[in-house]
Amino acid sequence: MLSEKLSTPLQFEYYLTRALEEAYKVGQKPVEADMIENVLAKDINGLEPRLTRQGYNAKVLAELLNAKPREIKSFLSGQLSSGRTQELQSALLAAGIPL
Amino acid sequence: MLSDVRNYYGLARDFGQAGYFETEHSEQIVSELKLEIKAGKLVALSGIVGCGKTTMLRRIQEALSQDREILASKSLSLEKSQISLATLIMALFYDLATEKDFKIPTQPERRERALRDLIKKRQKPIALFIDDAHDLHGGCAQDED
Repeated sequence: MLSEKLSTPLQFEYYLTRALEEAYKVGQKPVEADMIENVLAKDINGLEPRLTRQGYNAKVLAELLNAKPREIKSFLSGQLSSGRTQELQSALLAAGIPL
Repeated sequence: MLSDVRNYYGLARDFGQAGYFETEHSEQIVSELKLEIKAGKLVALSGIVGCGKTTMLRRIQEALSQDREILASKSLSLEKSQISLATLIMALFYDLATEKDFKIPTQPERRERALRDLIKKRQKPIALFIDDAHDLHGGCAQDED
């Protein structure tokens, strides 16, 4: 389960530690899959976390796309219109940023 | 992780101290980077957050120190957006100066000449390492590590 959702050593270190700490609190040994599922961030591979892992936070994206930070936050949370979302996605791809 | 948790699950140490797992690919990257550094190139090591760039840089610095062919210098300043060329020059002075009470000249021309003389005096190539370089000077630099 971890290898399906996680990609970096830092993520494995963090989530393995979280899982053991949470399982310890309820005396679970060995740690079961549901415990791992509970500690994993629900949106771990969403657009915003993926871009942040690439070094593009909302501030950087706003500068790069010449947009307002508020609009970028709406874009990242999927609250922009489909037309504007498409525009920003195209701009990101044109800038060489993987989506 | 608390020691109670480690003991409960029979772990000798935290995951962060589990050691460095070297793949064939990572060994090749380190080898290539060392060659590029020895060739006197500007090298940018990039990758997603948490993939091991900083750890790899530390290993390369250790390897260079052991080889004794190249002197490794490192900018330690945490305020990356405030780092300027003067900051990097200062880092070089701190790492290369051999005299205990060495004073860095404040006048730019004199400072650069003093650095040049210091580099000559050390008689070895020097590699300057900058971690998190993507934030340098307001994000102008393109290299990440």
